[in-house]
Amino acid sequence: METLLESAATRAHYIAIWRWLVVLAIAALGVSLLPISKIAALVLIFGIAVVKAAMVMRDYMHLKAETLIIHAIALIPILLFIGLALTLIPDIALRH
Amino acid sequence: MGASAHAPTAVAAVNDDAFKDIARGRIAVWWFLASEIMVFGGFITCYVLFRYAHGGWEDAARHVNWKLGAVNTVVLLTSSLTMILAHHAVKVGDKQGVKTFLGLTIALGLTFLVIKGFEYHAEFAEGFTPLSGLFWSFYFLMTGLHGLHLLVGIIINLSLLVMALRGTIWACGDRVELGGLYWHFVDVVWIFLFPLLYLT
Repeated sequence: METLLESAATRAHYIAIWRWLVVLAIAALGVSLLPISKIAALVLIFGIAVVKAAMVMRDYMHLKAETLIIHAIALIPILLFIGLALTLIPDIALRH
Repeated sequence: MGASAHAPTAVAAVNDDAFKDIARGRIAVWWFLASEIMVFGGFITCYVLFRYAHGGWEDAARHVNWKLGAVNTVVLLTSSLTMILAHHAVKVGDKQGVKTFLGLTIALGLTFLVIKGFEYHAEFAEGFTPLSGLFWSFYFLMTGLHGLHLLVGIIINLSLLVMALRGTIWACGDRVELGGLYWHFVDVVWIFLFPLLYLT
């Protein structure tokens, strides 16, 4: 059981993460309205999305405290669908 | 015969060593989430590749209401906060906190669905249906599937709230953590769907 002080610190940490998530969401919106090249906007917007997802998984889903087995279970399907996309991109690029 | 009779016991011992420090419920939920990553990952990959191959979806994408999508993003991020605070309340034995934060999570989940309902209504009124083109097919498929997952999360949280109100949740408090894992995953999916469908 956590002490009162630890409990308050944990809650403050969760609220701080939420604040960062909202700030990053607003930043992504801002980037989409900026007059910059489409590629730069896409990189920034999806970079922000990856950071937000990593924060939720690390701090709210407690991946930072999980074992190697849980990390492997989470990571393998992500690598699989990234591999699927990378495998198919040359086919599409050559056809179109 | 004698050796084979001992084999299952040996395997069980190895598995127990490997998993003894991990709650089995967490392994089960992460295993389930892994299959969900493949489902949504597959759709997202198809969407990106189709868009890359065909192009010209910008005109269709301009018709989605990014303002309502942004509001829903904040709603869902806030629901993730209330969900983790419910889990924390279980850990510290805060009975009122569990009920309050689970109730808030359910309310925010319902808010998301109501806003999404208004979006769908406006899009149908403008004549956009899942048959209006590839963009709209993907849009309704992915947001609809995400909405269904959110509905399941709301039902899970409702059952947890009923247990909290009855005072039976303390015997199995880790269920709030397991429900939370699912809820946060649904949030992570939206973190990618929002820029994919509304901002690009």
